[in-house]
Amino acid sequence: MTMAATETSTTMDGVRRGRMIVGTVVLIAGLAYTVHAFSLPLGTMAQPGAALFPLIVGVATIVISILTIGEARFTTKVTGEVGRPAPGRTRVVLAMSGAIVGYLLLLPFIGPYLGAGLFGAVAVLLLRDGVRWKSVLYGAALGLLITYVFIELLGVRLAAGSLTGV
Amino acid sequence: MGPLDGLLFGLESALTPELLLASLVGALAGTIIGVLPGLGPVAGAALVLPLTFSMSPIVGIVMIAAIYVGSMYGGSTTAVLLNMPGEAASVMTAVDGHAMAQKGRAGAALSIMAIGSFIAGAIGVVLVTLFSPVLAGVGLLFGPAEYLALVAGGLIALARVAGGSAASGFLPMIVGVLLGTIGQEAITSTFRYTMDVPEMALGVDLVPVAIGLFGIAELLLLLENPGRSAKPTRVRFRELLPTRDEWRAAWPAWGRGSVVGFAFGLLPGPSATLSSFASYRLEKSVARNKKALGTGAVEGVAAPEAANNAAAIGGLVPLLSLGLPFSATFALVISAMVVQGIEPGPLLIEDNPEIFWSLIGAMLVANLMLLVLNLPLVGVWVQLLRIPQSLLLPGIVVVAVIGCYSVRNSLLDVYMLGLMAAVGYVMRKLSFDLAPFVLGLVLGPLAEKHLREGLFLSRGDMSYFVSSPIAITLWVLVLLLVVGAGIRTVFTRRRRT
Repeated sequence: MTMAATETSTTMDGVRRGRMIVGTVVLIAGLAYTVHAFSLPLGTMAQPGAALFPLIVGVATIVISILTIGEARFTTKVTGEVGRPAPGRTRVVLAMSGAIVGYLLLLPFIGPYLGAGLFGAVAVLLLRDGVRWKSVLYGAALGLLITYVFIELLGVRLAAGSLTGV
Repeated sequence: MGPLDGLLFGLESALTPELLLASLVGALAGTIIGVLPGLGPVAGAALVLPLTFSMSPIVGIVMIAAIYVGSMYGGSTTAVLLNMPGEAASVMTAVDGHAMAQKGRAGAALSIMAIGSFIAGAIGVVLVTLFSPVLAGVGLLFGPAEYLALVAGGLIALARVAGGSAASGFLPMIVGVLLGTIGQEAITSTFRYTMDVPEMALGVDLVPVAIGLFGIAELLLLLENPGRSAKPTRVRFRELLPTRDEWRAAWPAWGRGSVVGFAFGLLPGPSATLSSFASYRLEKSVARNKKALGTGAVEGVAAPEAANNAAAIGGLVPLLSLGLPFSATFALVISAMVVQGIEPGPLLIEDNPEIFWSLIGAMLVANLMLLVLNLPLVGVWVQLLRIPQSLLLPGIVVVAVIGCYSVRNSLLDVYMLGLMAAVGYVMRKLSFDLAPFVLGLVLGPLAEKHLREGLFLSRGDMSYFVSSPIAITLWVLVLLLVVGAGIRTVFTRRRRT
């Protein structure tokens, strides 16, 4: 990704396209945010209500997202192709992301010990080249050990899983 | 309390067992965070933040600040041993530092880094002691109009300076401010954007946002490329001592780097990174050994290291005097203060002098600890670098999730971690700057508070906010900074055509 002089370009590279998409998403969010702000109590200028600051922020969000879209569309200030993972690593990144999402979603049900143990097992299995059962064992042990240190040694209180009670 | 009395009080306080332990834990944790890939100082400090809520205010604040300076050293250690800077501020150190390591002088490079960081830290602490009370005195003249100009104007200026283009900083900034409005509004207790979810009334916490954006997102980016196959250079204890020529070359570079770094620390933006680049360029102009720069010159290690540490200390001046964090890590310090019921700003030195001076004293102690402990422990850091990524990265994720969950035992924080990880990953890919996001989340509510106070005082008269010379000056400076960058681009384009 390179910083280039401000020039109009009709060729849209990955970064510019991506920034236009992000700008559009933020614009839509900003519009919804601003519309909702009108449903909050506005108060008066002398005693402003809860809506005043969100209205200002909402308008600013709309303006800045339009600026972002415009900058990506009409300039080459930030340009280039979106960096891709090394060959064969896309699968790893996606799988690891899925493992993290799974961990977060299951955590309230299975609790911190089981959650960390399962995640550790899956994650190390994904990342490590080696005997599979060893990877699962190392990963599970890692997750359980870290959780033990936090809960028992550092005294961090975590909610138990609703299904497991642990 | 005069500056000297304050500094002595701060040093005395910093030598109490509680603060000594906080400095030690922070410095060591910071070094580990800097050495290991994946967790930077922001995510690392965010992980520590919830643990500090049960401690006295100054302990948590000192720990976070010590993590910041420790991570600078840790990032430079990997720069020397592996030619892989752990932080952006260590990029210049890698150039000559790794070259020295290849010549068998890794130990000397690490010593020069450590000693230079300590000297820069000491010089920085003295300058903070002199500057901060003066700036705080000016800050006592501040009312809501001036505070709004400082906070909102500072946020806008930071976002403009931080990002390469206007949108790169402004977009993350405004999204951060937007997130900061979610929850139960402080004055009227109105629920804003909670979508009838009770947990949302507590708002968006800084910890999952910081860890998701800076920690988990960074891990995903690391996974994209195969783990480093280079083995770290081995360092023997007896190789740590620099030669007489190396000492002689290092001293002036340390001095120059310290001054450059501190000056950058007073300014908004990525001061540690910019200062290391600036000091390296200065050495290329003035160093006695300038021709050797790039091939293992001592000045190429000494100056950037002194600069990045001095910049970290220099950042304490606006933080403590005005309550304005110029970095995401210091935004966490502000957050720690607010949670503990301490009002950041010019009144900090009056209302909480023990916190003000203790933090300054503790910074000096933390730098001393980095010097005394990190050199003998260099073998430990080398071993840490040998931990396979297949174990390290899952471990960091588990620590991050537990850390977020423990803040409020709220699933909202856990889900926010995942969401922010995705947001951070996408934003990094598209060259957005993430620091303004965190700053917007922290400073947005403060800006709202000052806006409403001002409107209440002035009975709704908006001209109140530009009625004082200080407020006008601040807004003009912000305007110059924001517009100036655009004008500079136009001139550059004209010169090229």
